[in-house]
Amino acid sequence: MTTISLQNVSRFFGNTAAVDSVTVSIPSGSLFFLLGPSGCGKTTLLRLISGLDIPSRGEIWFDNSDVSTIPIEKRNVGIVFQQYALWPHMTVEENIQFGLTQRRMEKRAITDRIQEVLALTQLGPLSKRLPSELSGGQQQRVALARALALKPAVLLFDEPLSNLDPHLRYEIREQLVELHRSMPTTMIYVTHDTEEALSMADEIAILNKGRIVQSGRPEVLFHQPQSEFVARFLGEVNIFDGIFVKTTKGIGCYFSETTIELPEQFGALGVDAAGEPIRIAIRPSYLSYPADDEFGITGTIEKIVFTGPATRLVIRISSTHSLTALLPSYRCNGLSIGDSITVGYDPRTIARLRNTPSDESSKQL
Amino acid sequence: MMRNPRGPSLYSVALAVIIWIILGLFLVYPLLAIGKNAFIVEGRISLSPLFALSQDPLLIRITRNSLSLAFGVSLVATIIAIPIALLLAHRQFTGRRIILLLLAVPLLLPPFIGVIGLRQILGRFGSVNLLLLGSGIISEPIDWLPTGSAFAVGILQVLHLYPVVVAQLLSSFEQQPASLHEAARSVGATPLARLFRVTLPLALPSIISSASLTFVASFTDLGTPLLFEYRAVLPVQIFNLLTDLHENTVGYALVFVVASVSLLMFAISDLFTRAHHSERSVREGATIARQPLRGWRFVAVLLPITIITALSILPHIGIILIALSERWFFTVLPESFTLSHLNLVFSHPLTLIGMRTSISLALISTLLIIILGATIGWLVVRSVIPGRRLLSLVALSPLAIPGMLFAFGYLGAFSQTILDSAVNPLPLLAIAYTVRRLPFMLRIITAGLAETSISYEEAARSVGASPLAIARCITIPLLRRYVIAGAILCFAFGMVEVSDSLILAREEKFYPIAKVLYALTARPDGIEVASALGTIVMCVSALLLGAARLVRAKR
Repeated sequence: MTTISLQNVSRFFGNTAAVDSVTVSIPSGSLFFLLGPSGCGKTTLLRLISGLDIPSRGEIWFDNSDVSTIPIEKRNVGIVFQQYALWPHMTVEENIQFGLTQRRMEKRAITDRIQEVLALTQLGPLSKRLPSELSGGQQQRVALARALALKPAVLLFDEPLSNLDPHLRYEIREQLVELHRSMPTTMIYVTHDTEEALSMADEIAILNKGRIVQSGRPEVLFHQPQSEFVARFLGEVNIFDGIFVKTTKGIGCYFSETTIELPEQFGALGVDAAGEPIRIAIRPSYLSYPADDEFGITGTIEKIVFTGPATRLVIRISSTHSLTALLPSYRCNGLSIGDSITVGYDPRTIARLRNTPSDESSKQL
Repeated sequence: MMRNPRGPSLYSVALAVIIWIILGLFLVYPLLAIGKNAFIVEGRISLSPLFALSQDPLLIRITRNSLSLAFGVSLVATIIAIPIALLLAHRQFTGRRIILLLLAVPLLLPPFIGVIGLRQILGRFGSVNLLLLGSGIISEPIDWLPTGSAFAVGILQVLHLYPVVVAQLLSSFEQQPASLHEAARSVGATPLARLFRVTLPLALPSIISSASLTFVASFTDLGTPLLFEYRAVLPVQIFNLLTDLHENTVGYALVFVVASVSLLMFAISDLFTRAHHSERSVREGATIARQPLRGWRFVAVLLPITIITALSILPHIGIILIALSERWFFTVLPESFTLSHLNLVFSHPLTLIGMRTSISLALISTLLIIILGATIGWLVVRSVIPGRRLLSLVALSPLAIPGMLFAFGYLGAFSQTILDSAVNPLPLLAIAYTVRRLPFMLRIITAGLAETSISYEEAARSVGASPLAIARCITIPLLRRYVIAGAILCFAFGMVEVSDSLILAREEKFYPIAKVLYALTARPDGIEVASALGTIVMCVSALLLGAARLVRAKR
């Protein structure tokens, strides 16, 4: 198992920084995700880690070795490409065999290893087929088998499920997590699919404009995003800019004649912070109806959108602000546009965002 | 510390240097030698040869003739090709595939050899006149193709070149998105309005490009005017000046004029294509589905197309009939048939020399083309060496440069060197064939590399394969069908390479097929053997082109 560490890694294309001063440590044996929108630099970063490209600046370390300028063929990494890149003129078995032959392994050892990975990926009966004779899911498994055959120190995935239908994607997701559990290799996985990252990752680094904007465990990122960009990228969110106030119950965020109670730990800011600007985020799915007596926000229903198990309500809470709530549909029976409604919230589910309203990343979204 | 992640590898730089030396020596230097020989008189730069040329009324007339002929041929070929290409692109009718197949026939042989066949059919006492005289329609034979007439040369060139225009326009019309035509229909445009306001403007870059190609091909065609004894054109004049080329700089000055006109046409076509880039880029979505053509429309359309197609293969039919005729004299068709002429091809000393020389030259040049094409293609598409675009442009430039320019360039550049064609033209002929056909292979290989995802090679790198192993096990096998198809095409074209063969091979023992055909047509007893050799070349070329098509289409 290998610990990977990136120190101030940048990659420039002309004057544009595709990856900009990235510093991150990827724990040994973890399933680490690079998550971000298209063009954020996540695939470029993966290519730098793989050795397919080398950084313009900075260092990449595999354990105690500086591999920054070492090409991929000497890094002992396996990679599963987005389009799989299975050699179309070779059978499944030959695709797996090619790398083993390049390492000049003994014939017997090659045969054993091929059988091993074919069994692991359940490709045994398909070993003599050409890639064109396989389904998308099967091709994906061949790409994985080819990468696994060499027992790489690091396994890299470049959006490997993006070409599969949703059902198959879900199934293979589970299989990959299972594989990671049974074979604790350091794995780095690039995706723009938030659900994929949140459901599979040990740790996630979220990228925007070539920089890592936040990294950590999926639950932490989801519940405690530090910026509007991260909060919005990980799911629907209500964001309010207000000022920090003391309330009868503790502390709160006041905006447009509305006060939202904040969790106690925000109080660590102290009384001196009262009157300071504050920016908070509440996920629509964390709002409840009917509200309990303690914490509620009242407004008028502006829009009702039925989406199956949940119904989305847009609630006008002041002349300048509205709030989105995602409520169980069975709770919304009888509600109509124009009705007055109070939705409840738990202050512990409120996140405090660090950046200001003028933050460019948030404007992009 | 800043690194340069995309610096070229050492071996790509080494390969690029070798390629530049080869192209510099055998492509750039010979063309510069034309300028040098035309404008350096007694060691000093002088425009006097060009000045002398502009003062010579005969040469002015000849230049005017050449320009008029080329203009007329490209205009007529384009006018004929547009409706045929439109019909083939947008209509489905019985016989469509046969017409497509027959359109390739004129390309199987150099046009000048067709003169023999055409004379037998359209000559003063050819089949057509005899038929008309016999049926009493005419009383005196009509001279359809008078010797020494520009008209006859033009007709043969049009018949040879219009299929090239059809092929280029067909591809352009077929790629036009249906949505643009449907949008025009939706705003009430009539079929005629759609043709002139949508279809033709969208295809204009292809029309201009193929017209300029036809212009240059006619302007530099040496074989056809030679055979028709029409001597008042530049290529024939240049050819006649071959013997005292080193004493008389007018020859090089004329070559310079031909080069300048060709380059100008290429530049016009390129400028036009660039200016209409936006129109070319609108090629997405579904293309127009072919509508069936039936009833009187079918007859009205098929009749003129069949007549033109039949006319274009008339020279070839004539050649085949002569090759198979035992006696064909003052009759519409041969009186009796024989295979003896075809057999003679395999025992006649000159045809044997021609076949041996051409096959050897075509094989050697094809091998060189594969090596050069694959290397340049890889450097252009996959490497990061500086000057890749220029390398591609230089390697593709022979597409726009007529063969006779190269031949003269080689004469000027390598006389009295180890490659002197007066001593042994074979090395220079092999090089000339290679340079002339390199663009075909390069285009095929760059298309192949562009269609083949780089991730195949990256995946091989990820499992530890060396650059050589990647080339051997991944890149070459993936490009195999492109390389084979390109090699077959280059071999087929190499077998009938005309200008370089006519100019560079001066002794019988070095004659390639094209020069053998030319030499045989000048002998009274050589017509039948020439036709037999032409027939064999035609059949082999057809088989090779068919094979190349099959290989290319195979997945």
